[in-house]
Amino acid sequence: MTGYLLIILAAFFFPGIIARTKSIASGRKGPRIIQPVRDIVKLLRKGSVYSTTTSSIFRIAPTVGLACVLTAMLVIPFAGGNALISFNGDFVFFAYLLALGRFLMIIAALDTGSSFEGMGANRETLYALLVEPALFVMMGVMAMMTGCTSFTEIFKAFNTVGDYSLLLGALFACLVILIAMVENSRLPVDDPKTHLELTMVHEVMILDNSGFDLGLIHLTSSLKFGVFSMLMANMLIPPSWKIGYQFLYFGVIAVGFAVVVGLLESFRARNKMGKNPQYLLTLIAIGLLGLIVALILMQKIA
Amino acid sequence: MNLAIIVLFGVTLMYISIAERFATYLKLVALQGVLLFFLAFSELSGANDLASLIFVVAETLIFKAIAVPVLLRNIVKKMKVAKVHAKAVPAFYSLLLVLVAMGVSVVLGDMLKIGNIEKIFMITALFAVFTGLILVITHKKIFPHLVGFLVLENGVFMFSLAVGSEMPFLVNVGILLDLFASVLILGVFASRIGKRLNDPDVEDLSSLKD
Amino acid sequence: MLYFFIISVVLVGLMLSIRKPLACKVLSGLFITNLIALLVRAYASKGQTELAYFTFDGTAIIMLSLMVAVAIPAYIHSFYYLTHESDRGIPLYIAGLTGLLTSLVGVYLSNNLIVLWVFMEATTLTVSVLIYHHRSTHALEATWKYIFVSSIGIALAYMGILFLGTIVSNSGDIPLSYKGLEVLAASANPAYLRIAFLFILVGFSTKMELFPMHTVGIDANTIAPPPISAVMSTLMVNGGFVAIYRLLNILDGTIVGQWASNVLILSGILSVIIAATYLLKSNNLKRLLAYSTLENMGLVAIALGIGGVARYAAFIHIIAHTFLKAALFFQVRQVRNTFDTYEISKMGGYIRHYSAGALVLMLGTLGIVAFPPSGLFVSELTIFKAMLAQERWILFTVLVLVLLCCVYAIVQKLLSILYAKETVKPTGFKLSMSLTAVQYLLIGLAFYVFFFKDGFVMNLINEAIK
Repeated sequence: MTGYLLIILAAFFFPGIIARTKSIASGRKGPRIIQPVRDIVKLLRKGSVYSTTTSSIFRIAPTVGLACVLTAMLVIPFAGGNALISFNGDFVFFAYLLALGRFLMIIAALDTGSSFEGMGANRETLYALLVEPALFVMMGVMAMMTGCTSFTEIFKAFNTVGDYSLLLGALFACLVILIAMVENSRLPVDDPKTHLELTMVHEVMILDNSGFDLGLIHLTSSLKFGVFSMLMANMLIPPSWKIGYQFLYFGVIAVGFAVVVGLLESFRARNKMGKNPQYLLTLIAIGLLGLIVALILMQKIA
Repeated sequence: MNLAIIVLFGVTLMYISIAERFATYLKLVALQGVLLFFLAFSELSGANDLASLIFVVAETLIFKAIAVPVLLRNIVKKMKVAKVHAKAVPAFYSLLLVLVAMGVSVVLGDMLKIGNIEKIFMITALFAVFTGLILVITHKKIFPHLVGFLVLENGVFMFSLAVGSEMPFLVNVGILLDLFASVLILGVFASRIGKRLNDPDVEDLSSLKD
Repeated sequence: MLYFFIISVVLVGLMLSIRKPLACKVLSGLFITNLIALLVRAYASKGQTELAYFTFDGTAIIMLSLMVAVAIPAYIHSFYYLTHESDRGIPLYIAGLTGLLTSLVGVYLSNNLIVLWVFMEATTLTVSVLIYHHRSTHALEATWKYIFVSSIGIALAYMGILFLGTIVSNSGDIPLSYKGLEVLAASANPAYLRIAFLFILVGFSTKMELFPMHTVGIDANTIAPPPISAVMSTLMVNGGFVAIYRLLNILDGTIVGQWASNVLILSGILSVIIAATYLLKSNNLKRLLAYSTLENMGLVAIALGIGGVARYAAFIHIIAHTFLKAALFFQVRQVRNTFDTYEISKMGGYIRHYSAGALVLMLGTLGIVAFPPSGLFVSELTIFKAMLAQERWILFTVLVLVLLCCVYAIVQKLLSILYAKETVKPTGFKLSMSLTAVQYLLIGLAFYVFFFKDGFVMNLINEAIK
């Protein structure tokens, strides 16, 4: 239960810290950290306007997306404890729930009948397709190393597997940062600040959403960030440390993650569209490298 | 410690397949030279042949880590182009090929179990050889061909390190190959072709065909 | 043996420092005597090993004799070519040619894989100097391609040698000698032997002009001066043959021997198919002859792979091919002197301009397409017989069809030079009859191969394939 609440807490501050970091990096003062929360609350109080070409899919998609993320959060443990739900193979459940949410967003975008949104949906599908193997390779390696298939048990056993598990943990933490940036449509795959519709990927999919739905979508995106930061904390912190320290380190990792994302966004430009598949394949390559390092450490090869 | 060096070597190999600027190639080749120097040092310090150890280590440091990158930098400065404009194969497929090569070299290394060679060296050496070949095949310009050849040399050198801890004679012959390759090829290229063709594209060198 | 190398190196050094053409002629004469002295020594001390790295066995003696037979005309033709056409760069050319021949002697006679490999590298170096003789952009391109792809091939071959080296335990004797490897290979891990064979075959296919990396030889032969093309197409290719043949001998007694033979057959048949395709297309006379070398080497590889009596045929093929190809390349230079171009479509009517040379061309064509009484007829017949005896029907059919295309292409193009209407006005160049006489001698030797049934040479070959 604590883990669940911690994720929600992290999700509140995450977009604010990212925006603040980006502003400071460009020499401005920037908005308050709590500002995105106020934006979401403002949006939630408004009503939605629906286009006449849309159907019920467009209406339920943001809600189902939020529900998917909230359900997926149920399987993630914290500090070596038990998650709220845990069963064998629940990391597959996690990945596919997130994919279900994304799938509904994509068909909702297609539902509007606008060509721009269709273009955005097209690109979003390609990037989701290419980033999924990276996530699975990473989770697969961890499952292979610990011999368990549930998040709870994996993270209980992960940091005690071998001497080099910290090396692997660091490698996977980097990978998680990159995957999180792709899943949430950040630079260098997609620029959330661009105002030209032809260059948008995710933003253009939600062009037609307004009011309450838009608030739900922003909330979903923040929660996804929180989920990934919890995953990172689980990889990097051994479960044997004292519980007080665990809270502290989680806070440090979440804030650090947000600052890193903000810095990465400030100092990189968006990739050329044609270069994105290659960038995503690089993520898979890093995952495979981690696989081979794990195999070597487990003495399966060499 | 060796494992970290080898993992870093593998990362440079993967990065070389997607690099686009000649300066990046340069830095990666220099990095590979330095990594090989450390590897040579740690591998051969166990052997009791001190003269051979000094020779090998000095050669690695002087040639692979210093001389070859300097020669390459002179070539880059002379050429007007700084980036690979046209590839025969897009970077996506070349990276995919490199990943397949990594898998093949792991499988091959697994099949060839023999006692007195460390398998991790053989896997990385095979991976480097395949990456070098892929670089040569998937590029059209001459500079990536050179870099691919140097990567191939690095792979062969690493393999000779793995085998040669019991047979330093073979390692010396490998170094002979190294000297020949780097001095002759880079020297010839830097002086002759650099003068003739300002934008060395292999397409310029295709007048000899049927 | 050591004396030979020391004398050769001294001669090359002298050639490079004294830059007068007359001095070069004298020095190359000295080199030829040196070579003949080595040959006599080799016959005298047959079967012995010297310096632990060089041995005079049957294969080596055959190759050395072929080298002497081709090197003397090569020098004579080179001097004519140099003094009449371009008189710069004579010392470098002759020094390069001498260096090439010395390295090839090292390749033929070596007893040790590493020494063989070092001498192969030396041949690459010396040949690139020779290919660049013209200093044109085409020559630059061919030289660059040659050096680059050859170096990749040499590096791959080195990798294969390293794999073989892993099976040699640290037993204290000289590593990687053929006898030592043969003993050790019987008990080695077959996967290692397979990979080593693949790497070495791909690496040395640059030299022997077999399928994976044959393109360098083709380009180099097109650009190099004709006497050098002759030496490359015959002697260097023989060097590659020696390397691959010795490797096959090492692997013969082991489990992978059959697999290695099959790989050779595959490589050979692919070479012949590629050669047939390009032979039909090519318009350049030297390129045509280079592809014909590719085809013949493919046949030799198939012969080696089939084994048994076909190995004897492989040696006969190599001997006859050396003589014929050398004669053809030497004649090509005189053809070029007449027409000033290498393009086949522009040439014609050669039989009217210079009948002696035209007769050389015609006999050479008949020889190279294995028409009796050419030596190639004997070898190809034996290869086909061995193929049918082993019931390799598909291979036989494919080979016969592809050879049909090759024969058609070569005969059609070479006969068009002789009898068609020319489109280029021929220069009135005075051609030398003595050079042509030398070529007749070579062709005569090739036809003589057809006739010998018993005797000294046969014993040599039998000893080589034991």
